[in-house]
Amino acid sequence: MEEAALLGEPGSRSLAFLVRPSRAAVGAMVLCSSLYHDLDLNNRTELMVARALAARGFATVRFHYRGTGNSEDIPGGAVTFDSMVADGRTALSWLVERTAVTRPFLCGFRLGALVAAELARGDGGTPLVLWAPMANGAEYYRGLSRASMVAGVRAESGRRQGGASAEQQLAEQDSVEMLGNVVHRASYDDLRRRSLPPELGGRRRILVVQVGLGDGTAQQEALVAGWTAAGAHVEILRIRMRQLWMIPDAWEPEEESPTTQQLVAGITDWAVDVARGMVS
Amino acid sequence: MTTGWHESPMYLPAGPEAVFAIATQPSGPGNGIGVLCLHAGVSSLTSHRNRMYTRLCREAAGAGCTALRMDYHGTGDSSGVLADRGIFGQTVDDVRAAVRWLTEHGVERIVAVGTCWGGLVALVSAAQLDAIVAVCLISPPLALVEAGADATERPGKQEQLGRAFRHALRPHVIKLLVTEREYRRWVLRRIRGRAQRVLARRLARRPLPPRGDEDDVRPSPHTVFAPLARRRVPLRVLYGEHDQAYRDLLAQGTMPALEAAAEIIEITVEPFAVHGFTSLRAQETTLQHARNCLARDFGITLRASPAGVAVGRLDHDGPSEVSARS
Repeated sequence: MEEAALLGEPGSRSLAFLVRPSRAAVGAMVLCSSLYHDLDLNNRTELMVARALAARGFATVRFHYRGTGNSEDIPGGAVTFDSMVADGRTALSWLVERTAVTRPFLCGFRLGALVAAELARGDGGTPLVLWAPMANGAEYYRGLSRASMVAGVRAESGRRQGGASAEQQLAEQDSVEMLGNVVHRASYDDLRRRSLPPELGGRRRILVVQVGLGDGTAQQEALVAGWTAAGAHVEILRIRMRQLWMIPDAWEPEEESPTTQQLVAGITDWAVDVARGMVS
Repeated sequence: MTTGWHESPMYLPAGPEAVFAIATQPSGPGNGIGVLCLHAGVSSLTSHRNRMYTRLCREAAGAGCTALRMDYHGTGDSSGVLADRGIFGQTVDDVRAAVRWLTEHGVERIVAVGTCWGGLVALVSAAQLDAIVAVCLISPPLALVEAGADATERPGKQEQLGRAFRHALRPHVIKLLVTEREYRRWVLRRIRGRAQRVLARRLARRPLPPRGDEDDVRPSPHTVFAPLARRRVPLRVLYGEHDQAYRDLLAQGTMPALEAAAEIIEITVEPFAVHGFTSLRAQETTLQHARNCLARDFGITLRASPAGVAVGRLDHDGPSEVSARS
């Protein structure tokens, strides 16, 4: 079954989607998306993960942060880490209320991985999926800025490149354009100083999904080593595909992409396996 | 005059599928005008790039219109798989379901707004559904309809193969193939998977997907433009001069169908790229184009919202809608 609902206080509500099995859920997951154009590009794949999980007895909630997608606006207009985490908590509460599952898994895609990790800090045993995670917000905005320049070159070969950096522009104005998105200064200043925590607890199960043509970044490798040394059980799922920042030239349904199928199966199998371990 | 609005997410039954949509309705009495927003399908959300459709729908509802933004089957949050991009069968049924919802909720006349491939969907739907009385198109591949080609489907196999070879011959790809063993393995896995699927399909002699009742022809200039010209449905088209769809149109040479429908077609060309909406300028121009359509064809003025901030007063007493589908 699939449901869509507006959660939270009228005037500042977030749109959320619940996908659940027809019978009682044996597990549950909150999936924290990323921002800006990531939301568009990865939405269908996130839905595929939710549907695959539902087929295996898991309920999943996905949501649009306030101020993004189809959610209502956020006071002040700028998405911040605190507002993203608050929306995640709202989604988590809704999931628990609708399914009675007491320890939902948490999953975060790219910048959403920081949100999922923050939500997970409240419970050292909550399993965590970090899907193409950003080590920190600064890395995220650097990638956004680079992709913006690439898109600009592809769209208009004669378009003037260069000029002031995003930081320089934001020193003088309240927002800057990156890849066709409005990046508010408040969002930029707040999110770029956020990082994945060096400690995630000593008994946590963690799945790191690395997406791309190479291995994880040096920062990711260091974080994984730190979590493992602290006692967390970290597994790596490597998915070889084009970087999501590049705007795809040719289209195929996501459902038919072998790498997407591998990713969906990988996350689903891991979650089911971990849930079985939690019960036994 | 602006009014408050409220939104309702929903799943609309469309044959075997359930298409996700969000309705934005005015809190006060509506004016009977509907705004139906159709995105480009690929990697798109109902909100569209940088919330373009979210803003447009809220602006429209603030002016008394009932707006609906939707996902086709196999896209966004709808059910199904978008097997190909032909404008027939389930895709048209998806739009039909949305139009039905609008007319059942007080809408008498609809303007369909469509970007890129969604522009073709809007065009074909308008030709078949009398409730759509105006069409606002952004960077639509009109040359494909003019040519009567089935390029609303995926490119032919030869073109796909040619494109794959051209991609493989790019220097950075060659370098990866030579230096990265994992990349070579990945490419071979993909080739093997594709070959297996093609072989399995041929051996199984899988039939073509079933089609709907009224789609016994592929979109052709006659089936699209003739009914629209007869009903005098205005087609307001926006291109960027760098858009491939515009260049294809210019390269077409003679365009008898478009020329025959000249009385209802208006084409605006901007001196920058619109397709892809990768700039705020392209997005704002698109929104202004839609506002202009509403102003000219319906006498409705929308109050423009700044990028990223919705306009209008929220109806704080509006329902918190929950809708479900099995």
